[in-house]
Amino acid sequence: MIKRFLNISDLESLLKAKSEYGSKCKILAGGTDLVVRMKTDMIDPDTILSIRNIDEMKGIIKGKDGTVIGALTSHTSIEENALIRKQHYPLYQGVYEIGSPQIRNMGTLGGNIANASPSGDTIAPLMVMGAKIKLMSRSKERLVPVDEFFKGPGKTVMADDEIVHSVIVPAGFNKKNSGFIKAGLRKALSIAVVSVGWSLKDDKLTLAFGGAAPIVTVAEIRKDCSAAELKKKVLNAISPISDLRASKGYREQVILNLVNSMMEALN
Amino acid sequence: MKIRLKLNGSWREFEISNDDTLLHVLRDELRLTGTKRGCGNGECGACTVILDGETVTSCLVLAASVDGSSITTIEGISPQRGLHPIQEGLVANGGVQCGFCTPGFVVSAYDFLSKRESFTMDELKRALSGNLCRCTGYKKIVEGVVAGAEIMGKEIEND
Repeated sequence: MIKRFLNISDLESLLKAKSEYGSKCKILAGGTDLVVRMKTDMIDPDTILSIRNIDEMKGIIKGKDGTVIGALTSHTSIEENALIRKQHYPLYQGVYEIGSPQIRNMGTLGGNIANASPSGDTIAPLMVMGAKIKLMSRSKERLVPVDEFFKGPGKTVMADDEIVHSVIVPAGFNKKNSGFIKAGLRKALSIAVVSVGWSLKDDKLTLAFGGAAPIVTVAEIRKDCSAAELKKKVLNAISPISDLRASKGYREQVILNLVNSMMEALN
Repeated sequence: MKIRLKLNGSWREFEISNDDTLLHVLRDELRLTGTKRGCGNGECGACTVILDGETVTSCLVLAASVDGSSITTIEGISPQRGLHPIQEGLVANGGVQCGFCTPGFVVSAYDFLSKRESFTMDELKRALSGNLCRCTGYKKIVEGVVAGAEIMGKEIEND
């Protein structure tokens, strides 16, 4: 039962409310994860801070250290943005694969990050591009590299009074030097069984694996490494579980297949 | 709490509780039962409505969060008498079997078609990918929407 429902329309009021209600409250952005978890009784928040009207947290702008994406920007807005497609191709592919048109209209980048699902389709793309997450509280703000942000399924480094404000993504990731591949059980409306993000800089290949460990994990390899070394590094980086979507062995095999087909396309 | 919605063109004000979904308010409070409750988890699209110009699954929208918003349901798309061209196309092409998924499909198709003058088949199929039909396949549904699009004067491009 929600005791308190606050519709918040500016950032300052949000930071104030977050410092006041802390762990008792949940932030409602798109609702595509939160409302499902409320309905299935996985959570029962006392206070909801609804932020869909905070316009200053929406949008995509070119900054000096990369592209700044507001946490409340919807997956649809990201998909339709020309700068994202040109400079952040893995993220374009990631949001393209999310749920369905309705879910992409509702869901937000900040929500996908803060929800910290090991299968979040934006996370592997952000990892291979070296994105930073800007966290804000009433008293301070800080930038956290995306590979230091996640601590486990649903767990992050965020303090109770902090919010995800925006994401800063370095530019220069196009179709030729980066990408994201997802394997789901059907094309639309499926949560990834596993996914692989990749980027290539000089001879160094960065791979990120979704749905294959408690958090999205990363491996770095040389582009010309042997097949045996590649397999070893990939399997070292992941620790998949068996669940209702797939078994451990299946996940390992599909990840290896995705990596192999990506390497073939690259060479 | 009290909320105001611009529902199918006219402002309405009503009392809701904090936990109510938009779907619940539409169906059980306002008796707009064209919008269907399918899975209740945002996966089937039967409850699709247009919220501030974009399709959403109303089962995942907390009504308290959309105070002041504009909402179009299937009742706002279907004319008082007769059918919308998309509905006509679906009927003429056998795109309706049990009919439970149909309102959601019509809302998704309406939103897609009203935003463009032309489209490819791949774009149309992707626009309908958030709506599930469990009676049969999607061929007749897609054909029905295409027939509706033609009545609306939209152009189909090659993929």
